[in-house]
Amino acid sequence: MRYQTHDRLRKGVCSTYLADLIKAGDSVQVFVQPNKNFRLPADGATPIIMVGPGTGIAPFRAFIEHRSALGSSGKNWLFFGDQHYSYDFLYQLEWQDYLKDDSLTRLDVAFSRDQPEKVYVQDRMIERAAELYQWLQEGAHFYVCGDANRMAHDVHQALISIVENQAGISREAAEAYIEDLKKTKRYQRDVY
Amino acid sequence: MSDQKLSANEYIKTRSNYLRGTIEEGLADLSTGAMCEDDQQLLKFHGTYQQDDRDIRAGRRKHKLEKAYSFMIRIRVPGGVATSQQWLETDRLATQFANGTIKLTTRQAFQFHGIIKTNLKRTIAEINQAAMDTIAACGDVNRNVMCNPNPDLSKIHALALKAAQDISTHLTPQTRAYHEIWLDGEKIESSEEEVEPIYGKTYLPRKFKITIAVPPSNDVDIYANCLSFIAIVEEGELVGYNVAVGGGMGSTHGNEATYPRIADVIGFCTPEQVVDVAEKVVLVQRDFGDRTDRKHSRFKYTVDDYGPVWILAKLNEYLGYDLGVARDFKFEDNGDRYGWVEDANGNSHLTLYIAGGRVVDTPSYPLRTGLREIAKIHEGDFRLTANQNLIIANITSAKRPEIEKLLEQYGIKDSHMKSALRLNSLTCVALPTCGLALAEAERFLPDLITDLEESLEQVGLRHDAITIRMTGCPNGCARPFISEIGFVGRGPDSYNVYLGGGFAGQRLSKLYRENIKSEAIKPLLTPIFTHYAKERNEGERFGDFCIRENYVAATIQGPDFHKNLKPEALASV
Repeated sequence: MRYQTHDRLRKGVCSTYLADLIKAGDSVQVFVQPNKNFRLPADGATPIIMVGPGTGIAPFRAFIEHRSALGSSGKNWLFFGDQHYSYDFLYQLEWQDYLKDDSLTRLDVAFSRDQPEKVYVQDRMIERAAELYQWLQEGAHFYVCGDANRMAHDVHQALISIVENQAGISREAAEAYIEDLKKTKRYQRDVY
Repeated sequence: MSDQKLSANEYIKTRSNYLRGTIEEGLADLSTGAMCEDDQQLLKFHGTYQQDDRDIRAGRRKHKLEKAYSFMIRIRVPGGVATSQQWLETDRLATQFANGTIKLTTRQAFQFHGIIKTNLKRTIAEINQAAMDTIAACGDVNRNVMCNPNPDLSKIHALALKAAQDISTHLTPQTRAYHEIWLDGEKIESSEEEVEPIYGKTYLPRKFKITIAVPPSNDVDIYANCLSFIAIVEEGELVGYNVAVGGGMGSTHGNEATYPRIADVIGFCTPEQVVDVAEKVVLVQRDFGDRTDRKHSRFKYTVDDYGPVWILAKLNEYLGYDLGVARDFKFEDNGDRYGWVEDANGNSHLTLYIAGGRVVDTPSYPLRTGLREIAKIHEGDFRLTANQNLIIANITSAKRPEIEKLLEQYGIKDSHMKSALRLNSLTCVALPTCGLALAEAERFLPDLITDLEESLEQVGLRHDAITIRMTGCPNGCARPFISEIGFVGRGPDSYNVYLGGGFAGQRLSKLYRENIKSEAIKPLLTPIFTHYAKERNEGERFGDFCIRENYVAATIQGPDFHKNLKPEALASV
């Protein structure tokens, strides 16, 4: 992966390592970094809400594959976002299949650069506030994966606002509600 | 007829609840950029077609992406007249939601390509905010009504344009589905019965096309349209219109029951009768058009099946009075008149050549920017021609110097300093967006003409007008079957070549060679050009010459389009 942006040549860390420094037949050291705080609920009947824009989609593919294979009865809701609908809708055909066979209950997408104003996953969450809060009240687990700098923060703020408005409680009470989700491991993040 | 199975689209229309279908639900489903099959058919009535980028089809599945779906949106512009403000809005939307280009169509409409589903509603809403619309731009209804745009005949033109706009308004579908879906209009209470007084709930058997021509120009190609009105001017006054019915281009390769047909002139009506006649002709087609076979449902087949005499009798019955006897008229050509003209009011009009009707900026030719800058100061209007060109019309003498400066600055001034062949060319969109295209058209014809210009140059024909048209498929959006030279896509890089069409669009062409590769076209035509340059009679047109010299037999009318072919016309098996 090499590309020019803002007059600078950008290189993919992994792909250029493999392309430039590794010859056919060489062995490569690979390790898995486990995140034990980013797991599906033990109970397959528990609903889950997944927010995974960009490469943040990766673990949720595994989540849905897993639940689909086990035939888990819990509802699954995915929020995905990227830049352009036509080119960046990662695993689109898989999501369509999962929607068809009900492995995925809901899918909401936000593509930021298809229209004059930016639209992100947190905007979609706020549009669906009532239903999202309903799911939380039903015991849904809430997962966020992807960009740590901005997205995770914006999603967090959106979540507080949703609880505040939907429950009709104070900001502080809403923050406490979210804190409680964290403590009970119902709000998990894998951000980077 | 009644117990025969109807074509699938008839059932779609019937169960659509006046064109609603499940369009709203489909727009809300963002897991796919596409719409379901039934809604795709219904969307046409709303002025939009689902397409996909065929250039990048390959490989998307491997990347787990569906086809790159997008929508074409066609903006109705009755008579092709748009204000500067409408031009600017169209230009803005082209940047914001479409692929950065405006296509001027062969039916005087604006077209956008590449609008994705998430932007469809918004784009249509903003088009409406700019006082334009898209309803009935496609679909089994009356489409954009065309009208000769030459404003220098200002008095007659104004009357013809008014007639075109009146017909357009009168035949616009009345369903409120359009407002509900795209403009957040209030939903009709279920108890309220919706009525579609002219069309009824199944609309027409097929699309319906109306034009108004002002002789001697046949730029709107009346012979290729379902219904046309030919302005009859006597002693400087518009006395009425001849009525022509049953023209149409579309056909299907390998199906001889389908064919292009030229319209028959069946009578005359007064200016006051025009809207009524248009409505009643539409009603005749509504009631007698074939709804069992969409390949046989255009009005031209109704006219052929029942005969023009019967059609006239039925029309008179529907009207409750008789059409008059057709008056004399004469068409000279179906091209545009390029360059500057001034009218009696002292206004100027400039007809520009727009290659393929595509308004786009390229590094060497910033046409779209130039036209935008002109629109910002232009107090007159813009007129789309049926030949995909553009007239900057009604330029006041006060503004003309400024506009001339901009034309110079953006290199648009000499847009029509081209060979006569190029100036008489026409092409449909075809690849990559049109789902029907079997071969390239808009992206190939300019290069082909460059090739052919070499041959013409050598025999001194650079300034001889010959009509040349190319379409990617035999549906014939660029009306290739009445062109002196016509190319119709058969498959990738393969074309049927037709010769012998009338220079004024008054005669159908005939297949000259089948399945010709692009690089074989120049060697095929060059000897005919040479022959024409040497042996033509005084003033003889290329199409006429091809018939006199027996390159092809003359086609008299649609049913003999596929007959009298030379043995060598058909590809050897």
